[in-house]
Amino acid sequence: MKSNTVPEFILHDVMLKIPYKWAAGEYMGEFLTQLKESGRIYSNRCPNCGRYSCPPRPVCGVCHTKTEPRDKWKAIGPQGTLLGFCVTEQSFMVPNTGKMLEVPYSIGIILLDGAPVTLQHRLAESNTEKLKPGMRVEAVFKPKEQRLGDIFDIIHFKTIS
Amino acid sequence: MSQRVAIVGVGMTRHTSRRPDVNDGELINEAVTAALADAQLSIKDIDSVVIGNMDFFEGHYLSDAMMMDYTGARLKKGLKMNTGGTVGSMEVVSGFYNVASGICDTCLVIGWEKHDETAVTPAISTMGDASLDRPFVVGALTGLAIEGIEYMHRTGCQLEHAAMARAQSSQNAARNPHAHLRDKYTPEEVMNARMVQYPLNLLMVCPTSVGACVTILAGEKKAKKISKKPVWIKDHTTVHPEYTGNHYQGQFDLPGYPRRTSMMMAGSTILKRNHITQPMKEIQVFEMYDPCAFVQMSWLEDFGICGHAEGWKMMEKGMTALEGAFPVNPSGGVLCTNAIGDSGIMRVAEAALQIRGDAGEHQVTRDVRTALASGFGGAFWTDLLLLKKDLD
Amino acid sequence: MLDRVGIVAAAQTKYEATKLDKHLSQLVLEVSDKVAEEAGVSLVKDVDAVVSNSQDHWDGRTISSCPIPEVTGAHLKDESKVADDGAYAVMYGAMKILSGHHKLVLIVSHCCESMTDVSMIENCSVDHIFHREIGLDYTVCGAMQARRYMDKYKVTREQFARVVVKNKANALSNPYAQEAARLTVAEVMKSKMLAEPITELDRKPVSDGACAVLLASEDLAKKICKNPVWIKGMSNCYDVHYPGDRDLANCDALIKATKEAYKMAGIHDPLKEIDLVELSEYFSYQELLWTEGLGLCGRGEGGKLIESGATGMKGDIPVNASGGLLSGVPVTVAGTSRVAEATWQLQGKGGKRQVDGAKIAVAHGTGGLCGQMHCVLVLEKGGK
Repeated sequence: MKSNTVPEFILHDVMLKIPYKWAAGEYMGEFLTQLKESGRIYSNRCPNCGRYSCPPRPVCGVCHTKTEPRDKWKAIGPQGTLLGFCVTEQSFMVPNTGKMLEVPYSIGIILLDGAPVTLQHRLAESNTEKLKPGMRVEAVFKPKEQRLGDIFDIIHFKTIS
Repeated sequence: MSQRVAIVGVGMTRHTSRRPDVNDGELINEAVTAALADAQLSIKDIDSVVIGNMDFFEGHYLSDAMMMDYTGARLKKGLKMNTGGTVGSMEVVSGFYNVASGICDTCLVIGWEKHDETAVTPAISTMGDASLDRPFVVGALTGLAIEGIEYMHRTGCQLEHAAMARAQSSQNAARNPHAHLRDKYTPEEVMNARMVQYPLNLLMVCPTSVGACVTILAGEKKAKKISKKPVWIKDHTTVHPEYTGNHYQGQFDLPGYPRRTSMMMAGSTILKRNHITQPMKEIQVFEMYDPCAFVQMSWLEDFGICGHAEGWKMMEKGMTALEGAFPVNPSGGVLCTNAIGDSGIMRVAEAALQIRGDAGEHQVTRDVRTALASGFGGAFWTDLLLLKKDLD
Repeated sequence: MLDRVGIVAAAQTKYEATKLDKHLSQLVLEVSDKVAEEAGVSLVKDVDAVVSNSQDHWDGRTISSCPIPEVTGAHLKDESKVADDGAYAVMYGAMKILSGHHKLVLIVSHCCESMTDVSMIENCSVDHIFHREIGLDYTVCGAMQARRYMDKYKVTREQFARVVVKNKANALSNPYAQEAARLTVAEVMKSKMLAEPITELDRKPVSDGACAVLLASEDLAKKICKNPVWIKGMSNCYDVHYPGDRDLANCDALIKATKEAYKMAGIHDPLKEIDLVELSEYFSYQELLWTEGLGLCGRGEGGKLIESGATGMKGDIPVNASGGLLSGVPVTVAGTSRVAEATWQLQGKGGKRQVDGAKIAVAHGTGGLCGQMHCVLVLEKGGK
């Protein structure tokens, strides 16, 4: 709303736009590449304490041992168990895209079958009555020709039970 | 030579949603002036100035350098820490090392945030790894909302207990002139608030506030000389779990890997190191950084103050109220006042005021000799500080 | 006199114009592992605190230290981030040890300037109400300071260029250096003008990399390292923010930090007692100005000092034997890398750039517009 009166306090209204190039690096880069190429979710294991990382990392965060190399990476999921979730009603502008988020918007932490490790991603279901910890979900991938090698090659996790 | 450290002065601004009448530096200076007055010191008596906030919230890089004219740091030593939500409590820890090392005898510690300057949620969302989970970090609340679901599922806590927590905090904040949200609510009124991120509604999450807080620290000899009521920083610990991207795994019980949160580690370290076996008896008040209503209950358990599933039962019985057996957040906590860079330091400041008996209308009824103050950050990081009235 | 804190190991990545084939955490992992290996310690079991050092604006990430605990063995341990130049992080780590609360502290700095637009980020450190839209970045502010320095003390562009010639040539002996070359003064002065009098060659290049330094308490340092380098003195100091509020040809904050650090270290005659200096020169003129602030010559005599050859490799007090920042080191990492280079010199690990018989070194870091803040550390050779 424009006004002819001088505001009591001067405020500078700006939109900061800064370009960034974020490197995914070798390990996360390969994780994303596999989402695209094979439609599989990969994790890797620490040979010392047995802890899994998803996505794969070069070193175990707990015992700092070099993790298993690429040929030993394990494909996990695409099914899993929902451990926790939240449904967002309030929108905001996403810094990466400059676009407002579409609400309601549902996020879950999924314990993927095959390794004691979780992935955080969108859920297809945003009705809180229909969401419960312990329910089974499954990753839904984009058709291969539409995948880009980013986390949204998985569209979301849909309820399967 | 290392030396023991006390808080000799506390100053804070009022907290509110918007302060268009001051710029960032002027806001900080209000708290600096208040703290110096409280300590009866002048800026000349300060050896170093330590300051922190979250860069993206105001969009400033090297904000310590930018705010120099208002912090009084000219030709003094200083430092800026930046650890996310824990930055306020981390500044106190940093000030502690400035003095404990013997490099400085006095240190002015500043935490501040001017949330009316930018949109907080998008700024916090940049915490996520760009490739992996930035789209899923919907501000600070996602992880907390999910944790709330997990706590209810694991312990039988109900949403109504979170409403009780908020209602209790509102009673406390109403007595605190520096708090931001000071309206009183009943649990029913809290349950009816607008949903934000299920299960958290608008009243169950912290606000974004504008404010600044300063604590002045001094080494033992100096502290005893200049202050009649020094509050000793007896012990502290910082616990940062890994978070490269994709949510911290230790929040949940996973097959073969039980829950292991930073609160559990921090609580166990402080209690063990200080030989505290009956925390509710040996500690008289806890100013806990509570970004959402559940944590007053769930983290009480994680910190080791009470046992499994007892947190929500204590809330039900009113045990954590101002006059209760173990008061939590007599100031109203972060649920009622949250200028992120200042929230952590406010916990220390409020705990210090309780020990001094200077908390006015929100002073707890117990005689406070030992207090806990905690800081929390977006990657589920924790600082925990143990404050004491007497050193030995 | 300080209780003693020892630097027991140091590591740097090779600095490059861009290192975006790696995730930032991989760079941190590389240098953290190297120092742990050199010192023969375990990051998980032995290191009791990590001081990480990075800037949210450069990383484009709030809480830019998020990836650090995982790769430095600091999971569920004490890790905290200093958001100033790396020299401040080293000083903070030393404070943690001097307090008696920690014995072994890892300092690790990282920054990949190529990820973003350097001028835009620098612009974000300038006052947002009055100065950002004028178009200030560090090059523009540096040009103002260089011009003022020239006007007040009659230092010349040729003297600035000598710094570039010296440091780029020194870099030829440094395997970690990003850019090294044999240049002439004329070539430097003829290079592309950015903001008069600063040319492209007068300015530090855009750079990516990481650096780690491992600090230990005195008794532990003696146990795990044959020749720990002792921190004899350290201090830092802020000056006012607005460039117009001070005479840019002065460096009061550096002078004060230096005075305090030298007093702690018992240095009375810097030229005689100090064997080498690793300072942070983001621009060529800064090396001359900082040598004045560090007490290596009188005010306004920085130009004469470099002309005398005293700060060259064959001189009495080599400055930036490593090639300095002009050879390519990222901001933030800069101060830590000065400490690393000075440490290696005092341990006799300087390779082709070794300054013979080095016993006392000064490492320096700076931050903010026109060197608004400075940190100075005096290091002493330990062991036999």
